[in-house]
Amino acid sequence: MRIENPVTRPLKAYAFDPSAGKLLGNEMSMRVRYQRLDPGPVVRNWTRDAIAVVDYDATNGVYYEPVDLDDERILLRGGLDPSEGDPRFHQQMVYAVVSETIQHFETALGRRIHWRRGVFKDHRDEEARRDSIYTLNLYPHAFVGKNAFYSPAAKGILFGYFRAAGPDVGRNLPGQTVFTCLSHDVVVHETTHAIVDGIRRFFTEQTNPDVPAFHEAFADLVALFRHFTHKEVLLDTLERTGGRLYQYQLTADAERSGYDNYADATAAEKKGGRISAQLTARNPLIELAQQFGEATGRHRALRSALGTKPNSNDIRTKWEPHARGSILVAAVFDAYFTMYLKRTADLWRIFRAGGGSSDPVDIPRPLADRLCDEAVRLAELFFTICVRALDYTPPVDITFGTYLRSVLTADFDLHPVDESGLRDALLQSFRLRGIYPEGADFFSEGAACWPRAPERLKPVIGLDFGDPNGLITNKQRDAVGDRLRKYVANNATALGLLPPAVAPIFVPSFHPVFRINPDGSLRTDMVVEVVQTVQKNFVEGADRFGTFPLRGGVALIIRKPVFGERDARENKARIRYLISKPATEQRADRQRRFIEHLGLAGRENCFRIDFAMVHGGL
Amino acid sequence: MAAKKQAGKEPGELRIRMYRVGFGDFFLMTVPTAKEPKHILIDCGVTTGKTGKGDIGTIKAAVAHMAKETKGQLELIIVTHRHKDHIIGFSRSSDVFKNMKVGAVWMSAWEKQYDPNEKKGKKKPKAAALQDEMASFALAMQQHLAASGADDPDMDEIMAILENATGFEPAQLAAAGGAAKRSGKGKGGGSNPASLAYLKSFGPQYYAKGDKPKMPEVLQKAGLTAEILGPPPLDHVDFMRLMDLAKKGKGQYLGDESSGTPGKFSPFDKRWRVKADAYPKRAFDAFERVTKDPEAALRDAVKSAEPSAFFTAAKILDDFLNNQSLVILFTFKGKKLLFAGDAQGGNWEYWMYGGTPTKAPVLDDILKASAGILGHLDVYKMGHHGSTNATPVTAVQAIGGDPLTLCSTQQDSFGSKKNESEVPREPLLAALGGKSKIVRSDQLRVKGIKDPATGKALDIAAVKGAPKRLPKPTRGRLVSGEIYIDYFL
Repeated sequence: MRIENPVTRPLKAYAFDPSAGKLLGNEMSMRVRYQRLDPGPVVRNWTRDAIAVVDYDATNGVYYEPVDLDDERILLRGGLDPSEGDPRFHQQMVYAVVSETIQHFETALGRRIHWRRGVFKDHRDEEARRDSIYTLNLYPHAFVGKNAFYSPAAKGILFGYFRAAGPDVGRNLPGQTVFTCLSHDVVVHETTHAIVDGIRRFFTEQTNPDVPAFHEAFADLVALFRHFTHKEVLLDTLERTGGRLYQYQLTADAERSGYDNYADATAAEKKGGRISAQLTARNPLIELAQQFGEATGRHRALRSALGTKPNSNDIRTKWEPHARGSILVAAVFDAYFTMYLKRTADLWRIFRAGGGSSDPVDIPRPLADRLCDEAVRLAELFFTICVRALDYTPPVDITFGTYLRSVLTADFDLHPVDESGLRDALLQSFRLRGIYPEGADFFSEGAACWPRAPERLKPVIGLDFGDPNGLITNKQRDAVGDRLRKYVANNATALGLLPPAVAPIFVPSFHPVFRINPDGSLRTDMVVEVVQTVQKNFVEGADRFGTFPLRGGVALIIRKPVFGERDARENKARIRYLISKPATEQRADRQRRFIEHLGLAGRENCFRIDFAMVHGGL
Repeated sequence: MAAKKQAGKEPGELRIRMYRVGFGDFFLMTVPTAKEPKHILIDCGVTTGKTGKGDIGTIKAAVAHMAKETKGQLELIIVTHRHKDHIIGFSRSSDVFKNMKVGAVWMSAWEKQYDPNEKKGKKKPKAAALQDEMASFALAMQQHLAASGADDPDMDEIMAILENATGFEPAQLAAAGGAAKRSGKGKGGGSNPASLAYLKSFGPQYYAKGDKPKMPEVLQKAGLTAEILGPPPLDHVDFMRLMDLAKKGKGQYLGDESSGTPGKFSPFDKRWRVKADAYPKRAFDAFERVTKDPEAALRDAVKSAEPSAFFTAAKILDDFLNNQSLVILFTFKGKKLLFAGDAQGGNWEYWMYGGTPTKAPVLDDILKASAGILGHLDVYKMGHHGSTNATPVTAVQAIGGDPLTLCSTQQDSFGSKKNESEVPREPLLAALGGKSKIVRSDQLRVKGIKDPATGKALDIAAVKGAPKRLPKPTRGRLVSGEIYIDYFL
């Protein structure tokens, strides 16, 4: 009898990075989707959109020995044990974290993801094929440098390594080698860039200042929400913050023990921190890539998301992608913590009713357990709607304001009644930071969500939604693609697009999506990206000065009719959402000004984000 | 000021007008003809430079002045190369240039490689590739610097170089929501790609050393001829290597492997090193579509994605573009005028020595013809604003005929005395000063003219280090105007 393949493969990794030591479940075991692996690890059987770890070091021009995760000695151990000195563990960790991140995205989206795809004129288009990524390569030790980045040209993610700098390098040895590939956050962050590039083909085009900031913020959000799924860390943090998860500093061990309040202690002593137990540590949940930040000698870890007071001025003064991105990160986390407090208010009342302090230094374990459950559940919810929101964004020219609307709509679509007040919390926290739903008529939840598609839109007839594994055969995909392209071309004006004769229309992606309704039933949708490009004069009214590409587009969410409906009998699929960013003169003006300011009038690709450079400053 | 003196212009005199725009070239050559004077525009640009002082904000006024002077008609535009300090004016003053009547445009033959209309097969023209790359490179570099908060004088230099190559300004980037490190006023827009698009819309003639240029008839009849001395032709081997620059990734701007990474070290013991075949074939699948040797393609791709590659790239790119400069020798009634663009070593060597010399270049090795040219000059438009790398020592030695040297520059824009890289370079000026009279654009006080953008009167002092008085040329005379210096010959 054949033994069934296992569903998952256990692999070890750092929950944070090597500098976090063995404390608090930092050495974690992950369960990643089982696939047969060759040394690398490289997926043995060809699959579309696979990953492959190739440990090539371009600085030294050498390959490092690949790990064979299918070796029984490793299998029996549940993966190699964490080790900074063994490149094979690094390869294993990168493989595990990237695989898990992909799984999380796929769960949240309700579909398989794919990597970057070129813009195909037809299915034989070689240039588009070269521009596509069918296997994402991971290079754990690609170069010497304080950097890690996703590079479409290298078809993968390059992780750098470097020597810790300066006399104060935090918990690192001065001069020790720091591997960015061993930072869980860095790996998740970079993987997110690659995934988003696959979901939205034109999001890397910098058409406004929010674009690069959005990429950084989104990738940070994904990495941060991962923190809230590590139960051990969460519990410890809850205890060390007295339940205030959002608190920036942890309470020092000495303070928790009451040591600092001994009778003769001077104020200086109380504050002084003469022994390490008196030193306060930063809250690991809301810090990103601690080792990296400390090793580069910058004292504070990378991009603290919640270090600043909200104000509506930052959005007008901060332009550097990370600084600007942190505004978005803070807005989302503000809503998260607000919701956390709301949902746990009853627990605190019970705690206080039982004689608990209103400003506790310590909280009892059962309370911590309950708080922890809420924090985890909420983090999953937030992650899901933040990710799912991508399917509700227009395919071009992302801004924080459009993303807000997409997040609200993604949640609305899942929970039409905002019982928990989540959408309100989001609206308020964004408002505090000067981010408003772009193009909405009113500042209310209803108006801030994208409107439903008008009923007059013609249904798509005979659309194949495939099965929960997606559209399986090429034939099936081609047929669906053709049907959608035809529908879009025939209904361009109704969809708010320019006629195809003026601006060619193409469909960069379409995916069937399978999700569970609140009532437990299965909902099937097709999400479709539609994009068109018009060349606009750089100098208005004068052809001689060249042109720039202005893109417009719509995201369609098409509902599969369910059994028993009339539409089902007639094989009609209705458009539920039509989320559009048309190529209007107004947008042309805005983009022209933006380009003019940049002084970068040019052709198709010159605005594409170069993650290597954006990340160089990590 | 002797602004009115030009009224006393002798009939039959050739006039070379040097506009003062800051660090950049903007020359108008006016040729007397039987009917009326005809005009040739040689470059029109300015850049802010490393210090942010290069652009004095007068180019729009200068362009407006030029348009009035020429009655909106130029027989010929010559663009030496595609740097901002030679072309930005065309798009910055698009309102003026869009109505300009232009007879012909000459550009460097190397520009042909990037002609947007050139479409060979399915491949994207190199023009597009190079333009795209430089623009995205500059933008990325800007974001990179803002993120890293690096405060390094080398960075300023690199940014200034990139600014010149792309035409974008950091200060503008800040205003547009990018990130800027340097402060400094954005002085008015335009971009290199837009300027190039404009110039190429006239269907330019592209020239390299040895080509016979097609002089517009009216100028030819007036007695003007031109000889193309540079750039080296497209098949020149040493230059061909550089052409790889435009091919694909920015890594291609890199020299050989040895240009390595600062602080290179090996993270693991040697025993971990393996050959590529330790990996299954599928490990290189991602590059299967790219080439027949996916393993090599992978190595290349990883190598060229590495960010340290960018820094080396910037400087190589700069030299590369300068060396594409069109170098032209005009002859008018026996007078010789040499316009050297920003040509650097390789470009000079090619026409002075007939190729790249194998040993240290000396005066005696200069080709006879070239020595003849340099030995009898009336006007020398100084290469690269007086920077040290653009007029070779042997060229200075060979110069004769006591010409007038025109140096369009703005002191304290680039380089530093400490690094012996100040522009204009003092020892060079001294050496050349012994062979010719030098007139500098930054010794003129701009006054008595309005900025068309704001309507305000301009008043910009001469720079401190520049000579107070105009020199007295051996032949002809120099006259200064509101925003220009004229040389009548």
